[in-house]
Amino acid sequence: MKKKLLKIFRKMDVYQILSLVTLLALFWFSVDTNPSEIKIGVILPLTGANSARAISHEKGIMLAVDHVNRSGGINGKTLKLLIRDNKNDPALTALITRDLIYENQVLTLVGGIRPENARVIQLLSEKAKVPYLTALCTHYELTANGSEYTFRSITDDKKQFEAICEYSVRRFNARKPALIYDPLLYGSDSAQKFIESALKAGQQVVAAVSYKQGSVNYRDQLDVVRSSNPDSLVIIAPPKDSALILRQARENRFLKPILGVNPFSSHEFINYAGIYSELTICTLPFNSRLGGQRADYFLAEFFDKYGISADSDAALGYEAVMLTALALKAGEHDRKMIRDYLASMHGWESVTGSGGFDQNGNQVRPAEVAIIKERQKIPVNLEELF
Amino acid sequence: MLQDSTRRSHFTFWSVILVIAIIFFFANERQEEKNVPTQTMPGKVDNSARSDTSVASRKFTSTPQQKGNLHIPFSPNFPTPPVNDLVVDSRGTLWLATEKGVCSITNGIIKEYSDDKGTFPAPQAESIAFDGQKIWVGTLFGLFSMTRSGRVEKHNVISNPAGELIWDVAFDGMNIWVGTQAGAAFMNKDGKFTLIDSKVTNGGLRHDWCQSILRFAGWFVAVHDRGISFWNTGFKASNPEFWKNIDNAKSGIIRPVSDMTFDGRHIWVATSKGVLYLTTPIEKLFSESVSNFISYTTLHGLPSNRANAIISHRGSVWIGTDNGLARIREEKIQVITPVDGTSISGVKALAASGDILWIGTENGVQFINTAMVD
Repeated sequence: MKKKLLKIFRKMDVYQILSLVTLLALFWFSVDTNPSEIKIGVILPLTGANSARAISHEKGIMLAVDHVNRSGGINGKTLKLLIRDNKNDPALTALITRDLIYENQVLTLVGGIRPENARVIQLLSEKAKVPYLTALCTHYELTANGSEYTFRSITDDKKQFEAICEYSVRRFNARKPALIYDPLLYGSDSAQKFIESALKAGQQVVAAVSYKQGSVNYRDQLDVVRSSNPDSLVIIAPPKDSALILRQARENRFLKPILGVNPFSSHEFINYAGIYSELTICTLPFNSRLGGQRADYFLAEFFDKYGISADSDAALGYEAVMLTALALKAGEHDRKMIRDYLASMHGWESVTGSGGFDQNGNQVRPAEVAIIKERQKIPVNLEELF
Repeated sequence: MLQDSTRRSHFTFWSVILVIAIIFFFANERQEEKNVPTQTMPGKVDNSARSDTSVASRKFTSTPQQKGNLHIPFSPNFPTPPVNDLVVDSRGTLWLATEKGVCSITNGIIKEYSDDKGTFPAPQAESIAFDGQKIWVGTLFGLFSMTRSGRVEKHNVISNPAGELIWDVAFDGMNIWVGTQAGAAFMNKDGKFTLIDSKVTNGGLRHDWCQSILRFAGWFVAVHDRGISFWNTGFKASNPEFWKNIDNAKSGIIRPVSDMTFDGRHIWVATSKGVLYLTTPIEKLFSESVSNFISYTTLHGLPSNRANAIISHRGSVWIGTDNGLARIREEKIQVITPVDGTSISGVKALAASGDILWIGTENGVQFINTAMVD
């Protein structure tokens, strides 16, 4: 055998040997020679609607990966992000998720804002038994449908609605709120959930209206609201839409309290709403005071890296990767072990404060209510200090 | 002398303990002997688990009852990759859509067609159908047809790349129908597919992600992200007047819906939070403005709320759940378990052929004889 091989080699000329060497080199480099990477798939709408939130979230995610890798990675392996733009399209989300799971063999998935996209990621990740952590999708159903591999590190809509309803009763004695909701980020099922929360708090929703995606004129919706004579207005819509509705309501002399949920606390909302955001009530997904030194460090590092201050979406992105990193340390290459570790995380301390997953993988942290004063979000329990 | 008396008392004490232990042991044996025949005799209903339960729910129109557990012989497991769907062809061969590709079982011989073996080009086969000649396999990487000899052909359903994600395939005796991520479609005589999505139906089909489809006498039903859409196929799909939609938010359907079946009059839906039964008969869908669902969950006797598969067969509705198999007949639920006391878990797919009910699980396929249940 050896003799035969030698004979073949002797018969070959220089070019043949060179081409053989080149082929071998090509083969060597085409093989994944770097198994020392742990891949995390990130699916976010980096273009189109909600892109401002997604980009901020992505920055938080990238900063966390930098921190993990700089401090030695996960058991000596570095984290590698595979970031994909789903353009808010469920069909594209499905293709991206499929490829990340089956072709790129990611160990975990992070992302999703709109529930219809998050549900696609969830279905595919549940099928393939890939842990999926969302830190932006607040739709209550995502962790209420018996899923095993889905986790949510942001406080869900149900808790936010309950907090807003209870607060508006306590502070304004608001018993007859009106509701304006968007058709995609929240939808009619979230509106239904809000009505249930209001009833629990002793309120009767006098009007619940939606609007067409892409609308800029909300006169019709505001006319319905005004004719139902509510004592407060709740807006559950993306930041830009919320800001436009708020502006138009105030311009039309709607002087009663206006409340919102997480989107009200975003930079985007405050920028668009301007002076009209003053004294509106919202829920606060990130309160740096609760995160203590961790939050201070995160805020300083974020500013150093990007030259802008971090918002709640960035903090939630940072937290999501840090939680994933802890689970990866325990599981490393085993998706089931990663999932089991996440499921066992009933309490943690992170940049956003104390948190934990319940038995459904949902965040246990209660929603915090804040008031916007001079473009600052002030937790209502600290309001008197400001 | 004193030592002797101590020894004697010790001996007496331990003898008494031993006698008591023996008495307990035999008493337990007798008790178990009494229990054994009712559990192992095929076809005997165990009434010990009988309990009548009811749940207050906004959509309840009647109270389903638990009938009890039934222990019957199950066939040995035919080991295969995790099963997603099953179909029996005209020759009695069982075809399986699995996480690795396709499997066939003929006379107990398992044949695997997979990408690893170079015999089937796509993994993650989600659904399978038989059109009388060919096997149709819907995968997350496209739609394929396969002859008995193993010749495989890929079919382009929709120009949209998301149309590659095939969630369901059905054959109605005439055409092959598919539910994809980007709408549903049916195959024409020329082999080309006609698309049915929210655009061409002018909103009749409320959402394009068709996770589960059903086709029967004059009706096409699709479960999607916003609810359930019914199309009366006697009329043009482009006219939304001939579509009826049941909205998730209003009906309380929890997503995802995993399977659907039609029992001759009513639609049954398997979800991750139990089984739903649409009380409105299909022929009255357009005349009744409110459609009510009856919900069956673990509270009513289902072995698990996560229902993965559902079929209607000879007057019964069979449900495959994460914790085993159940049957609903005349509003009563029976959990079907093997006689050896083991449980069958992770039921993902069901298919019936004559008296035989095939059960696809995460570990392979088993079957039972449904005549033993009746």
